[in-house]
Amino acid sequence: MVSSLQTVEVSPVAPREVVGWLRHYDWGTMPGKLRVIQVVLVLGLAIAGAVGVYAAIARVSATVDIAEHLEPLNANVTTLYRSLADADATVAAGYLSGGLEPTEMQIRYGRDIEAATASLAQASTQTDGELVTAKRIADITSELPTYTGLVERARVNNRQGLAVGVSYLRRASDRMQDAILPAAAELQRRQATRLDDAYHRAGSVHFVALAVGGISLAGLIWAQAFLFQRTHRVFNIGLVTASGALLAGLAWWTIAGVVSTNSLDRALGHSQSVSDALAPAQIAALQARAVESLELVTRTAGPNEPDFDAQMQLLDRDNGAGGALGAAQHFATDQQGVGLVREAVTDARDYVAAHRQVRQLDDAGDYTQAVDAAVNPHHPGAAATFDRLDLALTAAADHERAAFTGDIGGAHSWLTGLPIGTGGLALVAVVGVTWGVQRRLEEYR
Amino acid sequence: MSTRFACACAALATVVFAGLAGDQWPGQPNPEPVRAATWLVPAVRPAAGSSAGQTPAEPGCDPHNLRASLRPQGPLPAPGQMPAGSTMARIAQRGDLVVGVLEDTYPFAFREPDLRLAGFDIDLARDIAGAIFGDRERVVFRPAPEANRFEVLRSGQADLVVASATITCHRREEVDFSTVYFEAGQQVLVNRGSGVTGLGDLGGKRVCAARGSTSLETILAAPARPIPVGADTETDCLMKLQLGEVDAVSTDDTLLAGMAAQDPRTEIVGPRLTEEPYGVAISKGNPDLERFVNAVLERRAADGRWRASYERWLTPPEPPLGPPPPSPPPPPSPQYRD
Repeated sequence: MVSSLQTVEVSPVAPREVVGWLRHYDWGTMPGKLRVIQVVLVLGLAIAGAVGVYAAIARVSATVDIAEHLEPLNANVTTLYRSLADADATVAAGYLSGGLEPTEMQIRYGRDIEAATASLAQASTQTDGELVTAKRIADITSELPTYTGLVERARVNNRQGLAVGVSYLRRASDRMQDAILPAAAELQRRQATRLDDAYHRAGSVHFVALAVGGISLAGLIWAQAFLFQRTHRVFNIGLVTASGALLAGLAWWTIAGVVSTNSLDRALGHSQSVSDALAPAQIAALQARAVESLELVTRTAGPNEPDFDAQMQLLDRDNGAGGALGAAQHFATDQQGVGLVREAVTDARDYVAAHRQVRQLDDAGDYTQAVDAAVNPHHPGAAATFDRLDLALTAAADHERAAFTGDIGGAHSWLTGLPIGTGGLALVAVVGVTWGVQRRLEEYR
Repeated sequence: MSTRFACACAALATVVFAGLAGDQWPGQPNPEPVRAATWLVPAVRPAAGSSAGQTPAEPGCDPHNLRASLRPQGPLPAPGQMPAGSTMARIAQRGDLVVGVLEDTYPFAFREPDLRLAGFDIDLARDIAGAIFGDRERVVFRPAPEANRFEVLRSGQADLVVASATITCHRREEVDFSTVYFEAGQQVLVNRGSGVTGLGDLGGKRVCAARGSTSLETILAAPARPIPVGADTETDCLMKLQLGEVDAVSTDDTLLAGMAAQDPRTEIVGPRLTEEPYGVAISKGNPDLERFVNAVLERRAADGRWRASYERWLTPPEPPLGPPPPSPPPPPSPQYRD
């Protein structure tokens, strides 16, 4: 019966028997009408169920994709970018400390390179066939050993007090600035775009499911009113059960949809706060720090204040309203997050002031004092304020990441049962309609 | 073809080569500069037979008179008692002598591990400060970008520039020079065992010098047609040689000696290609300061401080066995134009 009706709809030239059967079908009698109602309701509920299950699966899988795949990859690429910028800044500052690079700086550089290598290896397994992403990962993978090689040569020469070490250091830093970091930046941009797409997938479709469900509910109510008029029985248990199941499904969908979308939106906010604001802020700060150190290392090139200012402008602009930290304040949702970002803004200003002092000392010819202010973390100066800024940005990013994990988990838990639940309730509704209308039909035998 | 045009083209070529050289990478020889060189270099090469060894002459600047500066007037004033109204008195009143220096041209000016500047140029700058203040420490060193060494004079950021600067007619248009305080000459540094005996063997090979230096112009004008490669600093040239990006470095012998000391696998070869008389640069219109500096130079030459500085920075350490190192040459004798 079901299949024959579908054939009428789909096939342009209906087989003669079907046309004949339809022509002779008894449309006017009660059983005939009941049969039509039964078929139409079952079909509507089946479609609503199918759309609902499909939409639920799409949402759950997008959410799982975000939580277990895209966000870790995004964090991974951010780690890569940050580690590379950190390595560059650390090496330059370490070089300034004279022939003997402080142990903690050597360790920090080593950790940066380790983290970058691990992130690269992980990222290369998760490109999902994206050609440009794979190419950028390959670029960084091939450039990184050259970079570390140049850094090692700079260190060996520096340790022996040979002036050529500076040339290797500058070459290394140029490779980092001109080739490696731009590739890492592009990787991060692409990753952020993929993540955005996934959020849209996770948040969409459910209006269609709700619309089909709503129409089915209207049909069910009309059918019950029709039966009540014709048979004068108030309740048809099958149809009531079907209505209950459908209502429960719709309620579940509405509540889970709204709550999980809220959670997803919040998770997206936290994720964007890290990838669009806090991570870029940290990377800009690190690059400014590298410029500061290189100004003191490579003397003949002259100070490069425009570069320093450009990086710090990326961080903080228009009195805290603009720049990456302005964006981070905008993204921050709770008091603690706002507080952490404000702290970073203060630290960024302190660092700029400390940097100006370094430049002043150097311009006045007091090179030794300038270097001390720039690299000695135990004196109040650029080194100490920069470390504070770096820590504040890390703390703010950690806070947002923790909030993200909570929200994406919340979204997921609201959606977990939704595909099976939707399918189950749709089945209950279909069975209810079939059985309930069948009982009425049997009364006409 | 006028030499001035040649200089301008040399500068242009330097920029072109520098840009190309900056893009290349160890192990990936870039064929571009070779092609660029074949069309750029002949256009600016002086006519065959012209000597590469001479400092280019500008109209109005007599190469024979290049070394001549203003004669000191009377004995040096005692430290702390500069003639009233003189440039030195103004400096004394300010409290510091400000000197533009290069900071990574070992052994003329470089930072020791304790970050203090040291070297042959630095000794001289401190001696001039000593003559003004009676205190050799009353000097502020300001980094002078190699490619634009005299900018700090023009902008009034420094009183003097002591930066291994060769006196040339071209530079004389910009600044005044003291008498010669050091006679250098351009030579060639190559990897040991390369078989190269001078610039003549380096036709079609890449030869490095600092951008904005007179050395790069000499490479460009060499009859064997080497390919000039510009670097930010001379020391960058040593790195490029070590990384195999260039086949030779050609600049002042004094700087090459500093490089050879850093890398025993390199050697200086060939004859002196040029004369590079070093002078202290003074901004134009300060004849009193020029005379004062010349008086300090005369006194340094006479009282043995020039020789002591030479022995400290430019004499190789005495070997445990074998002949002692050669004794320093006499200081350059001053020439005056008045």
